[in-house]
Amino acid sequence: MITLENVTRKFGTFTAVDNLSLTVSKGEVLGFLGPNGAGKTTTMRMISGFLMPSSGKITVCGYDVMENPVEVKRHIGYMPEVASSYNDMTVLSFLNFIAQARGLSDSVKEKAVERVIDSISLNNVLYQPIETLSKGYKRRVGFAQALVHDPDILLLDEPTEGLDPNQKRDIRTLIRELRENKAIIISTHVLEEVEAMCSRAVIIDEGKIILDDTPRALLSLSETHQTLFVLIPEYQHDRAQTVFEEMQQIVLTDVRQETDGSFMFTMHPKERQSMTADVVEALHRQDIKILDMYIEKGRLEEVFYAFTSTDRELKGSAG
Amino acid sequence: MKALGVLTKREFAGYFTTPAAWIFLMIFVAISGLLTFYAGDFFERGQADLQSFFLFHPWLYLFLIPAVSMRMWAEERRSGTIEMLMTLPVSTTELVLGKFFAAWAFVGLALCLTAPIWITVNYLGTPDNGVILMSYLASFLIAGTFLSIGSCLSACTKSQMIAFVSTMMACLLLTFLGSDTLIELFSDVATEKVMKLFQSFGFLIHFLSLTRGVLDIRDLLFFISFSSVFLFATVIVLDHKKAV
Repeated sequence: MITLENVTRKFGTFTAVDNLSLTVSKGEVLGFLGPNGAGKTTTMRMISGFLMPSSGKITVCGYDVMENPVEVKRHIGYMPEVASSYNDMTVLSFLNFIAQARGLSDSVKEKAVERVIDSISLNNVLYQPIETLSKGYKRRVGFAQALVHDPDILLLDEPTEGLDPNQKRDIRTLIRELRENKAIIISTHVLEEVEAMCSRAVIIDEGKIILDDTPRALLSLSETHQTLFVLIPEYQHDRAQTVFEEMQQIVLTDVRQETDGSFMFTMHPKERQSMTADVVEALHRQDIKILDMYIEKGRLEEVFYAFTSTDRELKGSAG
Repeated sequence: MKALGVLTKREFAGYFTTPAAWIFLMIFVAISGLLTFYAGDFFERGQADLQSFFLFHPWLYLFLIPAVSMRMWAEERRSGTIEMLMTLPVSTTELVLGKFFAAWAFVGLALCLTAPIWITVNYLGTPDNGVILMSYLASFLIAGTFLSIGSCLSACTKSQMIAFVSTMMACLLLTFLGSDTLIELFSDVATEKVMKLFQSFGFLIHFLSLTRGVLDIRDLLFFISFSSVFLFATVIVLDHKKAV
């Protein structure tokens, strides 16, 4: 539903988005990750028609953004990063204005506004001027504004920024409900969010796509992916240590005594695949008791750091 | 076209959410009245017309119109709401016209509020109401032209202050173009032809000719085409800013 072909965007001599190509289809929730200034917002602004690309082609629902911007905008719900509403209006009058400006007929409009008010729980603040609302409520009004015409495409620039944990959860649930017949792009810094609601994660840096995969696949790139933690009772820890050291497939990285005397062994598989079954079997054979055990899925944060920051330092020192 | 109405309505209502609008209306009515009676010698002239009232309108607009037009786009840009506005499925032309018509209607409202002076002059004597109506039209047109200039300059900047000052200077220049002072100043260096050309772009000449009650299509066309040019320029500026 969204296609970017070799899109470049320059601001003067600065290249914000560099020859970027991307396709997002219906049903996908794409998490757009990247450090500040990576080009996330610029990319979203270009898809929304707010900015024109310097070169390249963007198609949304079959319409070219440059040739047919109004038709493209009709299909998009866009929640900008800042100031997505008129502060001097009340919540209700603002949503009515957006619905009308988007060309909804009166009967449809009423239902549509009612629907977003319910789904985003804005009932308590309908008649308040937006400037008097808390940051969280303002963001929600911005979200409501993007949803009122039930668009095929949702572009959300840091939708959960400034929300409290409960509100974040509500928004996440809502996005999960919405995703079936829409294409959604969410830019965010909150990596756990990507795991929670995205079907695909794209990391960009300096205007280029660095990684593009499912969140799970990205997690497997994490250094701590498949790290195994095993808790062994104190009286058996010597034997356990021998067992672990004899196993070829793993590296024992840490042994630590807990406050209750038991020992926590941390180990890492050499081949990046799960060694859990083997470890359990080996311990079982020696009649060693396992008090507790867990496996690290990996941390998106680490992947993010590994692919964006070190890269940048290297480039910095090279240049 | 439906969207245009919606946009205009919101913009117009937007003026009244701050006390600034009410202050503007009060100042406009008060100063236009004061100028008429004190500077314009309304009573001493002993004539049942509103010449002394309309004479000051361009000068009053010079200060008041930039105050209305400065926020049109500069404020949207500064606060960031322009992003939401420009991702609505409406053309840039509709956005520009929406804001312009709202501002024009607002100034029109200010003009309507001066009706008491028209009632007064009708009570005191028997003025030519055709001329007065025409003068109101002239005043409304010159206000619209100033607003279109303000719209264009407001679209160029994030700062309302810059928008205000530049609009005032631009309008001042255009008003002065046809004035006797300027003609005298340049009479030595410029040929008569150049002066005539200059004069034909002067707002004051066209304004005064309309307020005399002479409905010259050329004067009407002058203001309408001038406004159109600047509104079109606003569209170009806004579209250009998307690309740079």
